Amino acid sequence: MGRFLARRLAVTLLVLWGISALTYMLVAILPGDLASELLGVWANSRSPEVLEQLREEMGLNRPWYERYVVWLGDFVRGDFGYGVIYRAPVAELVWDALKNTLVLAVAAFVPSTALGVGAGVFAGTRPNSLADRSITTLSVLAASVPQYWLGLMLIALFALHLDWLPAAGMWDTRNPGGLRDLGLHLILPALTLAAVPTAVISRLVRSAMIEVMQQDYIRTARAKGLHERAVIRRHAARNIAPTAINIVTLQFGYLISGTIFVEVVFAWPGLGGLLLGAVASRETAAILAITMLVAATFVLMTLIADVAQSLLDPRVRLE
Amino acid sequence: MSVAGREGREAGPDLVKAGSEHWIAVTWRAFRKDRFAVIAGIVLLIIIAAAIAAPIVAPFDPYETESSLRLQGYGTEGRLLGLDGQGRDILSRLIWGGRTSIPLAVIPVALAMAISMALALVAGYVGGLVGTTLMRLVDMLYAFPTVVLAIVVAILVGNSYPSLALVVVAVLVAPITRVAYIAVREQRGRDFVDAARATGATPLRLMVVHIAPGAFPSVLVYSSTLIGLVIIFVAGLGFLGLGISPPTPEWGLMTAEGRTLLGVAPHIATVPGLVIGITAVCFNLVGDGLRFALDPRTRNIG
Repeated sequence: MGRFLARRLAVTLLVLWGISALTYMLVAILPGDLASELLGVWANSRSPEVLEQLREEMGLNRPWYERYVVWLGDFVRGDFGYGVIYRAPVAELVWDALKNTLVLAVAAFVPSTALGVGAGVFAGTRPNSLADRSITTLSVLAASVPQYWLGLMLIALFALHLDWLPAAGMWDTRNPGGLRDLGLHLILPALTLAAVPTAVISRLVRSAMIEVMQQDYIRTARAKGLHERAVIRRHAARNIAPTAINIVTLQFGYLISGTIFVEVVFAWPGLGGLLLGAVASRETAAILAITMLVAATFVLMTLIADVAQSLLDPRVRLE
Repeated sequence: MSVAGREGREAGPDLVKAGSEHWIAVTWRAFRKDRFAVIAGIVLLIIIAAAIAAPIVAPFDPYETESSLRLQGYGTEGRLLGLDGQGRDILSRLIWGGRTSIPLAVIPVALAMAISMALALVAGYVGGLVGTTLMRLVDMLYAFPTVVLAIVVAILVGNSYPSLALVVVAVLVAPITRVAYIAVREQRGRDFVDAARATGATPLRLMVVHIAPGAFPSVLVYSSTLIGLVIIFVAGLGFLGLGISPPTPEWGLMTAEGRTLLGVAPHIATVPGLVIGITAVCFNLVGDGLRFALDPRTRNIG
């Protein structure tokens, strides 16, 4: 296990390094750069020499791999660069956005895990019953709803039509602050964000449960006269726990990178909006920091999912 | 998660009976039993047929504006689903929009499935340095934040149809390969594979004849659930302004155009989003139906 972890962590670093290089290259070959973004369209067309000078000063004239090496050196030493357009250190920008994204992600993730696993186990133990069919149908519907559309519909109904909840943002514009304010602003985006993971978790847990319920040891447990609830709790549930933990952990990884649509629709000040802004203005340092953060979260979640599953399920061997 | 068949199970009466006819007929008979899947399939066929026959079926030109009827809602004379902010007929734009949204989901998924299956068989069966290297590359792509990948690649390659399809394939290969890899590894550990190897089957034969059929249902089921998601994703790119550019009718773009008019004319965002959702649901239901029909354990042939 120790050797596995060491090797896997080394591989993780390699994966992240690869992602950073690839992202840097992709951003570098995008048309336009930060200098032209800073000067704006008018200045670009009127005074190409000023643009050239600015490029020179910002080091944008050097080839991308040279800039990448400099960036990488700074990055591993904890210097994430400066957001020129935002006039703030990237670390600060990303940290603020990350906090907001995490608030939203957790608010969506906790209920969707509880509901998803619960519904999945419930449906999976009574396949083809009315309850199972209803849950399956609901989860198919929930998984098929476009997040951005669901968000718009919730806004139209609860914010614009009924005027019960705020339509956008994280805090009240007039007197921001307090848990109540945050809570009210959280309801609609969290609901929007929770729909898909809930559906996916319940669907996957359900099929894992059905698979387990057909195993010989379940028949044995029943044959020895065990109560059905004990069969489910002591034999079935324990055997799907590793799979369920794997599923749920991966869903959290998806959730972090999947908040962007919800953030855009609800003008939530998180990583998504920052990323879109950074790409639009070619803020390489900010794009890289966000990409690395999201990718690292994702890789770590995958690692945790694998390790947890193999710790809990001896049939899954880590090699 | 796996739907792979279990070994050591003798064929039941249904399978004996089924054995005498072609597997497509068997699958179809099982599929037909699933009412939801059949209805979803019919709805999908209608949507696809409408998209194909758009020039004939669409009541209006999708680009033609009628400024006097701007923002009119459902059931306005002759305009079943109303008009958008520029006075264009929403129904006609939806019908034409299917020509963008549906192929952009189906073709990349099929492409990604083929690529992934090949990658997973090589990585999962051959293993060793080749397998590890392959899977690390896949991990790299997999860990690449989908949205970053999509945004950057979309800006990079522009927003033509082939380049958008490329974006989707780039996003899909990694997750499908992961699922395929797990399925392949699971199959590889089974007794019948060892037995086949003991009888002298070549690696290629083991991969293609013994491992792939067992691993394929997981991949197919997973991929079939993806078509719905990809419909939503491609429309989402349109919604973010990264997909096909206006004024081309595209479902995600239409939803985005309705966003600013949500308070005045909510139908402009509602209708296209609903179509995206319905199409996605139908693909998911058909996928589910296919899964049950393909899996002998759940297949119910009466």
